[in-house]
Amino acid sequence: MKKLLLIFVSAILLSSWVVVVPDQSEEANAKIKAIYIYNFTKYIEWPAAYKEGNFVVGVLGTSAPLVAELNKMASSKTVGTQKFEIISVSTPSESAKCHIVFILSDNSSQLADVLGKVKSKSALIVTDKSGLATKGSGINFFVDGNKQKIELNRLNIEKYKLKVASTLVEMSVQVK
Amino acid sequence: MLKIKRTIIFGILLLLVVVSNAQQSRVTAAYTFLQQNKLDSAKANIDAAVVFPETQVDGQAWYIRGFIYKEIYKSYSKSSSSFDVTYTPENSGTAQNSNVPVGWSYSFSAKKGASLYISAQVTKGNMVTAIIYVNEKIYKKITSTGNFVIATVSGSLEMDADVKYVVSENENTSFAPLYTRKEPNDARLEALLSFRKSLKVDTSAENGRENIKNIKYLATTLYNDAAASLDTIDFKIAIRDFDTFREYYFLVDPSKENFKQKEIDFANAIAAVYTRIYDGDKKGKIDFLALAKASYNTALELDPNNISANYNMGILYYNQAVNLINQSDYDLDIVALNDVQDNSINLFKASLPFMEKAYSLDPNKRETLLGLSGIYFSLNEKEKSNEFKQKLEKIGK
Repeated sequence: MKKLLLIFVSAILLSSWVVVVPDQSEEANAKIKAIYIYNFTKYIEWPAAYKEGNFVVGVLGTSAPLVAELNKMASSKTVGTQKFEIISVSTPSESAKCHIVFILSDNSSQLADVLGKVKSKSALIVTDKSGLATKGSGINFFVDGNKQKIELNRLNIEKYKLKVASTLVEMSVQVK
Repeated sequence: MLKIKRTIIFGILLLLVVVSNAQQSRVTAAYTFLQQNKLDSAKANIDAAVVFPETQVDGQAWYIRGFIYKEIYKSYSKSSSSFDVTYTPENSGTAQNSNVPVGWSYSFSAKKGASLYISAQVTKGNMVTAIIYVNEKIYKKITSTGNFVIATVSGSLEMDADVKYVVSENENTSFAPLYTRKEPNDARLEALLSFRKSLKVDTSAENGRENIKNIKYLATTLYNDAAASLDTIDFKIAIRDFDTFREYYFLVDPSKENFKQKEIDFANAIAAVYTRIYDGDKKGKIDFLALAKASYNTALELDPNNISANYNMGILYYNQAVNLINQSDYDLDIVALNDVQDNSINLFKASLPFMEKAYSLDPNKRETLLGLSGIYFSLNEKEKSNEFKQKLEKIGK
């Protein structure tokens, strides 16, 4: 009987450890950012010349979960009649062809270079490091009370001939 | 007058002796049939005997009854090997995206007297119709809109039968392996009841020893059956068997302390089953999430330092938070996204104390370090997240 009981107990112990941690934290974080980015396309208007062809979102930096999430978004959503195209931007000069350039935090030092490449274009520059909305980016992700929020610099958006809806301004922390 | 009165009293006494002899002879007959392994006759006699008031308080009679039912249970258990189950995939590849296409069937033969319990888990798709044939005639047709198709053929089969189970009318259904089992018959319970009754009416040491030995044996079979039923289909059987096991275990060993570990292990195991059910259908089976949490809580109330319960409770909250975010649509506006974030942060925070406790109990467990790293990452506390990631890397080296 003791033997039988032992067999039972070990089976139970094994089964109780079956629930494994899937490391989905980066995916969840990427999903939040993808939802934000899709919202930007609804509340910001690009000039007519930018409403043809694909709507290009460039990611400067390495984040496989974010690129995967954006591609997932691209497969089911559009910007008006434009299809999304998600590209990895390896050099700032490639930013020139993007509607949105998302500079990941590790690549924040390249912000100035990117701004130089897009100055005659209509691109929304999105960054992911505290303080960058005052240094040229249009929208910057920041963390407040464990929560992912955005700060928005209206001037940095409008100087690229983009129109930003007041709703988005109200839902953001405004930076001048 | 006095003579008549005496005659009546004598008559009553005589009747009592005759009845007493009658019930005693039934007990004797039952015992004889038991020795001859004629269990049906033994059962008939002992059941007839124990209805008498005299036998109600006869420990020996109840012991014999317990023994007869125990033997019936054992013979039933042995016969389960003759319950021949065969897996017969047919007509494969006729439906798209389907592991188990329309027309897929499963057949087996069942012996006379067997009870049937047929179940299938639908792991994909929302509806399935299953047709059960017994000896080529439709016995039952069941349409299910949930994740399970469960059919029970009530009572026991009156003849040997070929049973066939066919999936139809649904093109997007996949089945987890389908299987059959016999519902445990009542003989084991009757045996346990009888041994308990014998214990109660005859408190002699020898009687107690024999009854306890048999109760212990039968309770162990319940314990093991509970373990064998710990899956997403048979979990109710597991709970029932474990509850019965608990009831009788205390006759063998009244110490609650000795039973505690079994209670904790079972609570953890059933919680893991509930979690698997919930994971299979997060919207439809949301109740199982609460059940899983309640079961882990049961384990933690008994042992706050139980690593498994702490870890798994942490993971439940963690996964719930992650799912909340991952299930959100891209169309979600920023205000609604804020709400989702608030709710998920609350869940991440709820998972933290459990995961930290698991970590304090075993700082080198990889899963816990990974869990803490993930929770802190999700709470946007990147430094702490990296701290645990580095500890994880150290362990890996």
